[in-house]
Amino acid sequence: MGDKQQDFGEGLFGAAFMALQDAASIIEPFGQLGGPDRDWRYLAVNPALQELLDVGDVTGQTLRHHFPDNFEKWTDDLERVLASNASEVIIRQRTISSRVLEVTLTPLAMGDRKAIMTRTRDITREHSDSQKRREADARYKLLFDSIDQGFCILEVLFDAEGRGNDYVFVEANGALAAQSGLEDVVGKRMREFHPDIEDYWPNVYGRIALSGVSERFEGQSMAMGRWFDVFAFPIGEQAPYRIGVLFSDVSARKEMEPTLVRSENRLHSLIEASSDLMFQMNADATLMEQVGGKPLLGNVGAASNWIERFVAEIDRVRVQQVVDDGIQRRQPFEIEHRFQTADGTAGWFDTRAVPVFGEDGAIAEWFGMATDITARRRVEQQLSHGTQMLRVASEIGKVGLWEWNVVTGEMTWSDEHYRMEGYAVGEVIPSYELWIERVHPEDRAATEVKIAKAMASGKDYVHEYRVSHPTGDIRWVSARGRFLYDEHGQPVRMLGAMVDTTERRREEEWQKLLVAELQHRVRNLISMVRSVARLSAPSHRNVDDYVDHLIGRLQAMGRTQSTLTRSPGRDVDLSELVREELLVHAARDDQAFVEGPIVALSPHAAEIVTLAIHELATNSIKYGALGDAGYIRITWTNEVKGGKNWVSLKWQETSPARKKKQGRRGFGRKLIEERLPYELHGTGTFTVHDTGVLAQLEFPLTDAPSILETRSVGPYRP
Amino acid sequence: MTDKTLSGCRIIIVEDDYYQAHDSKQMLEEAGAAVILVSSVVPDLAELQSEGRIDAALIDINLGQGLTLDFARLLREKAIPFVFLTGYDAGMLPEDLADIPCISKPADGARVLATLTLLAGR
Repeated sequence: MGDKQQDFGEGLFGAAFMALQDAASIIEPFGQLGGPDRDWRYLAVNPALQELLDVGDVTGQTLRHHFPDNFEKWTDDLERVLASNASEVIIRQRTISSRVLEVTLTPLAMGDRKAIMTRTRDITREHSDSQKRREADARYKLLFDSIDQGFCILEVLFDAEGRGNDYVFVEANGALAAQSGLEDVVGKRMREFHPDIEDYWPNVYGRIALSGVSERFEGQSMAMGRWFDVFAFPIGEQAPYRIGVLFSDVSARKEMEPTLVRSENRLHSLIEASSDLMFQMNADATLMEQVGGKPLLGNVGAASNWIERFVAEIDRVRVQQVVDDGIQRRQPFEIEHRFQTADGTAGWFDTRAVPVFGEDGAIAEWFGMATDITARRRVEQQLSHGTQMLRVASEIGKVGLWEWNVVTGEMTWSDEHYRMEGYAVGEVIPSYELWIERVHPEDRAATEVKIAKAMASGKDYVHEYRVSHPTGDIRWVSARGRFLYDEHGQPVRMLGAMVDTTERRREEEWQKLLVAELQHRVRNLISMVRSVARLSAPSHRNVDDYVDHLIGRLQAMGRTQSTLTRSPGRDVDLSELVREELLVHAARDDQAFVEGPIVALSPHAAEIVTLAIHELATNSIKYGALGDAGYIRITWTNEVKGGKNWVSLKWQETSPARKKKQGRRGFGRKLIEERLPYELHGTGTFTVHDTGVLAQLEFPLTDAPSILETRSVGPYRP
Repeated sequence: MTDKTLSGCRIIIVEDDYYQAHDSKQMLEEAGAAVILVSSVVPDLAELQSEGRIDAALIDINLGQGLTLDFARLLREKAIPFVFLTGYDAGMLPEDLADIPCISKPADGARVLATLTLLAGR
């Protein structure tokens, strides 16, 4: 064997063998093939094999000796190759190193000598790679079978124009049946299941098969009665590609969609239709961004500090407080504030925002709405302004206002109304019953009839009636009211106002009395003038005297009248009256002495006393003290006699000489001795002594002798 | 007034104005009447009647101290005819006395006389 080995080792072939990159050996059988002593001897082992198997030069050594464990297996393989005289590739894992070796056994024949050449490659890596690939394939298969989505690989069939018009299922996962309703599809064409499948589907797959560009789409197949969400992608190296299709049946969602869209549209319309602005703010509510609704603030743009930008300066502090409070309490906030925009638009907003919490429990952001309430605020302001004006006006004008809710019976009175009913403001809860209770009993029935008539007719309630106060005070009020009705014509409310007319009525009555009194006085005066004229006549022989006297008396009467008119309704001071008469007759201070207590004369008494002093003074100028170096004492006293207050006036002249003795009863004497007793129910004397005239007038003072004095009468009664 | 149309007629005058009362008295007496009372206050009718019959009365409505309406009602009760004399309007009379003749001051003597003559049934 040694020389053969030598033969092999020498020569060029030997050298080539030894230089082979592949690990190689030549091995020769000996002993009986298939017998118990069979074995194989290495004829040559190149260095690559020695390295691969980690052995030395095993040339000349036997297989049984070297690989006792695998000897039988290898011997079977070698004998088989020898017998068949055909090469074989055997892949076997080494027990020692667990490396995977690919061994190619090639039979050799040199005459009758037979041998086998081995070529060994370490394919451990390739082996494990393909192992992995197989495992991966299995996992993918498992994955595709386990997912809910349908998956299949298609091969597109094209028509003559190069358009896809059908496709064959190459592979399919388990879910495909559930997602598509197609079962047992592999190897079958789509049109076998649905001949009327829309051209759209093979067209799309055909396009992808040719372009190699994957597509994602939603599509409806009327033929299959389903909606699909599809991801189709090319598989393979070159066009026409196979198509991988991952899809799911979205029919249910698609059916829901119109409903959702409608509902979303409705919500959208609602937001758009409302006057609200929807916004979003950061956690500390400083930066705001509009997210929907009306562009109430114009183009808001990117998030910005809204308080500085849009809240009117006057409200900023207030808004900031409310926002800070909301943040601190982690609660929604709401505030009405003024706003302004860059273009000068200003108005009122009702701003609300709710906090949105993050997973950590902190405020993540705020969502909110702002409603334009400018119009409402304006109305409110006008209303409040109007209410205030009405209140002030009604207080100033002393107008009592009321509102009566006919349905609930609720009644509201203004402050003045309470006072007009004789209540302190807010003392009672107003009601129809309380009101009617205060109407004077005599006016109650008529008042209720008026109210009922106004309610039934819709015409204004206009009424003047008396209100009885608990104090006994009776006030006249003039009321006007109006009922308001609902759409069915039912009375719902009554609004009204009333004013106190007591004073007005009293004034009117007073006016009437004044006119009547004036008439009375004028008529009396004419009567009196007539009488005075007639009575004056007999005492005068010549017309000039008569006229002088008449004029003097009329002037005296005129003085009384002017005194009374100057201070109507007031008594006349006796002292003043006397002094004025003396003054008129040009009596000097040293000629007359006037003294007496303060006495107030009724107009009637004043008239008579004035005329009496006039007569006495005229007489005195003509015949007595005033016409001479005489002296007059006019004194009076005032005392109570028989329950009445009597005044006693004395006119006493001291005159050195009488020019002429008075004989007959003249006008003045009649006045004192007849008229005064008759009209004033007192006494009057006129006597002429040697020293001069002595006249005494006594009469009781009376209360209210003239109708003008009725002004002091108490509450007005009609 | 020379006709003594009121001859024998007993008349009372209630009038607070002295001159008016004086004029009326003079006028009535000239017509033949017997003026049995001139008063500025309401008299006691029963006492007057006890002194003799009363045929007619001339009354001022306002006596200054008060109205004579109650006295007038009393006269009507006693069937004594009377005439009101007043400085006020006749409209001031209460309803129950509205039918009583009322003559405004200053009184027209002829009218007073004519009215009283008619009332006294002369």
